[in-house]
Amino acid sequence: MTSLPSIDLDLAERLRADEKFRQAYFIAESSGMIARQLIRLRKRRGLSQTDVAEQLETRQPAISRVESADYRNWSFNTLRRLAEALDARIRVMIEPSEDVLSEYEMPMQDQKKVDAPLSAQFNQWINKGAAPPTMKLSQSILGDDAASAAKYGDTLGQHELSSLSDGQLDKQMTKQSLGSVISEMTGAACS
Amino acid sequence: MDYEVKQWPGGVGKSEIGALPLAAESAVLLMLKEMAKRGPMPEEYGIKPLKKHLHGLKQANLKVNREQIRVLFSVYGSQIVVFHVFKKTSPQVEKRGYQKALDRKKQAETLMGDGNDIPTLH
Repeated sequence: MTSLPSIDLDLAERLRADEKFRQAYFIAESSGMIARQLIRLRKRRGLSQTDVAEQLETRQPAISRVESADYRNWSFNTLRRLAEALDARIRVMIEPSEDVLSEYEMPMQDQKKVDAPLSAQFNQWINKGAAPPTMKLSQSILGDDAASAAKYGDTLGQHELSSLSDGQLDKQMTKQSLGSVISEMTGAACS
Repeated sequence: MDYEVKQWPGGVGKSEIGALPLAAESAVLLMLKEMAKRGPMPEEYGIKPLKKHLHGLKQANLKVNREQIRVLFSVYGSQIVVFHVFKKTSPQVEKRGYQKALDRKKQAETLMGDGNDIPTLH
């Protein structure tokens, strides 16, 4: 059996070198991700597109459109209304390209491994009602003085970062910076 | 299950996907990457099997910047073979696109094995 040539899906170099391509790709990627989340959450709620459309006082084709990977006319208001209809919260993550490009440099199999924990977490959240990972700045920590907060931040960093490592935690949010954020917050609260 | 995304002929990626406007090109490449990771029918893409006379061809429709992009492919086990990617500008163009994809599919199946012995997943 002759093997057919593969399509080169190794996008790393292109994404690194071509800023316009990178921007277009990232937009496509975020649109696809939004559509996928909306579809999965709607199904989890046991709703049809018509049901969601009725809640939003629109028509089914409009919901079909926003559930398409190629839909680009997002407004935050639309997202907010959809999230309300699906009883969900919105989290927006804006990541600098230089921090995420390495994700595309891995071979596809490895990318899948990296995605797997995130997918598992996402599916757990979507399908089983488990809480999505969150960074908690608890009241007890915020109530402490800045020095303690830095210390707690360090501990918190170790604990929360390990649990968030699959959740695309901003790579720049190291233990130290987490501590300093808390210090700033508590410092501001104290002053 | 891991999927491999193949092309027939060898120039589909470069001369057809690469010739699309940037936004469409990136959207197609992303879709193919998602297919490689998640299988040939990611839910957020409007992928549909075409009619029987098109012998198991599947079609993805992408609308990017008011342009309609058609991606025609078939699935053989864990291989997704892309036969034709084009911009649909009229029903005639679309019909010609189907025929071209069908011709290429037959060529590929001949190459891959003994023609009809290659199962196409419908």
